[in-house]
Amino acid sequence: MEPSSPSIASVWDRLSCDLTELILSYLPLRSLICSSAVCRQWHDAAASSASRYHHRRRPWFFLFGLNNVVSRLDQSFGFDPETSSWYPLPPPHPDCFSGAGGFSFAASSCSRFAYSPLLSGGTHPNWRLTKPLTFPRCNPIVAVFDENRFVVVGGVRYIGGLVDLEDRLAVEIYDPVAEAWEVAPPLPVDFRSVGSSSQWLSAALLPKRKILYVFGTYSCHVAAFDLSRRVWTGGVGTLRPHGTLFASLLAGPDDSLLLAGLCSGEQEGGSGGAQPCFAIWAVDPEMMGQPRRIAVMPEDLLTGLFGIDDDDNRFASLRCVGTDGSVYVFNENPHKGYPACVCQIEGKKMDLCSWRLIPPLPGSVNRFHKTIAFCSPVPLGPVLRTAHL
Amino acid sequence: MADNGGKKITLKSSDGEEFEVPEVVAMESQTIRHVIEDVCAKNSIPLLNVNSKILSKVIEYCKKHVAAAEAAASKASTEEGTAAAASVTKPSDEDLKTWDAEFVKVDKGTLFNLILAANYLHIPGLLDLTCQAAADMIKGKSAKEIRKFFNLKNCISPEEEEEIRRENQWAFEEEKRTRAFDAYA
Repeated sequence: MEPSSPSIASVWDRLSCDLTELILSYLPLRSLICSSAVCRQWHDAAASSASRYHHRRRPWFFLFGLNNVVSRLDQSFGFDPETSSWYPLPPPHPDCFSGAGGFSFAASSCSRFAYSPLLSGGTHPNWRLTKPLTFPRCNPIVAVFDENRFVVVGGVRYIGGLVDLEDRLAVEIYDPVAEAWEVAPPLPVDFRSVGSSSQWLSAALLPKRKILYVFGTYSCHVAAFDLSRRVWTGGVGTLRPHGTLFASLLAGPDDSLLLAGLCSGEQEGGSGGAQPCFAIWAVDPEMMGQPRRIAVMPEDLLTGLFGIDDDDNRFASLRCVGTDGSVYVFNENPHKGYPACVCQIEGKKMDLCSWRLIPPLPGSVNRFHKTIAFCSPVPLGPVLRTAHL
Repeated sequence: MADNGGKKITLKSSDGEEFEVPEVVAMESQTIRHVIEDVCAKNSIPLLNVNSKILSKVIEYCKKHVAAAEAAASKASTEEGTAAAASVTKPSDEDLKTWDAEFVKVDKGTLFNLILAANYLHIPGLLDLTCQAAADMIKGKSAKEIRKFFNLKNCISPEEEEEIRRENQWAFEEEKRTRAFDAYA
């Protein structure tokens, strides 16, 4: 055997499609894209590998910053947990308001919104407009299921500049292929008092069960929308583990449900004065039994992100997003440079929880008036279009 | 290791060399397991797609992993499944990982052949290990560097390559560092 002869070195050319796809599935997204530019065979393999082994890649954390006055200062960043790196992205759409399930969403008017697959299209992303909503609204929750169906929940309607509290906006489901909206019953009335704009709500979509859970950040109301039957099921419950100040409901690994939020640190016995802590609980999707605490953010990490003042207002800028077993917690305070940390939850019993600080944003980061943050997988179909070559 | 009295099997490489191994080690390969279970008593199993150099490496991998599994199982049973058992298996997990990392420190020709062998013999752990090692060789390289390293023919036209770069600028950022780049133009 002559290990260094040219004929051996060139055998990689003869690697079967299956094995090429398998090897490429171990690459983080950026390397996968570089690989797609190597040769025609690898380009095709990269695209097939991406969809075949989609479940292997962890979702990204996206941070879009908007400046209300000078749009040139808008910036976008994406964080890949596989490489633990931030990537500066092309500037965000100035009307961007949300992102989920592989898309980012922008709304220049209340009646319809634009959507674009994440990371595709370079500096000129392919924005498509939905047909007008049956019930126009601002700042709804948008979730994605079945790869490209959008479900819009809540949001607010303005009449003469004032929020219309009477109107309960129907849930609407969009099929981008048919270009049609389907109307379904609105968010249960219990949510009306606390506001149904996405500012006060979080949503967790469990893809296998096909249920969208909606949760009030401060009210802790929870409701479940069955995406198959297009109805709200099980009434409205409350998820408020002892001492919870505010929380978000997130999809966990393997169709599980997580609650993540700030606790006052009071013990069950009522002895106050303890430090607030950030905790994660596993929630039974059937809503039976109490949430089970599975992780607590280490105190030094919490103080690293939010400081050590006694003033609890320091947590007013705490935001939490996540999906699929990744939980990102960050500080939206522009003076702090948007520090963030992540907790990865793994294991059948969700007993393997590891926290780590994520690196600071790259380059010079402007101060933003509004930040949009979300955690989303990056389906690579639109990013690596096979039809192309 | 259960070398005494355990059933042995002979594996024959493509270049005619014979390797006698305990059956339990050979059964790490699902291909071989099927042959043993379906075809029953076989004196020697010929492996036409694997040469002796690669086969000896594969056997080394299988022996190590069978031994590690047996050690973990026996520790667990002596500790009777207490918490001590869980903490005892942890260090050996780390040792195995270290061993695996050293095992794949081979030239890319050998790695290529190990991937093919792991695939042909259906040894999931080895396939995972070797594919990850190949991916590690690809990570961080530019398209041109990957091409050169693996000696792959470039059949993409410059225009097509430029299009991929344009569509995914962020992924090629590092290469553009030296060029003037105004994202907000």
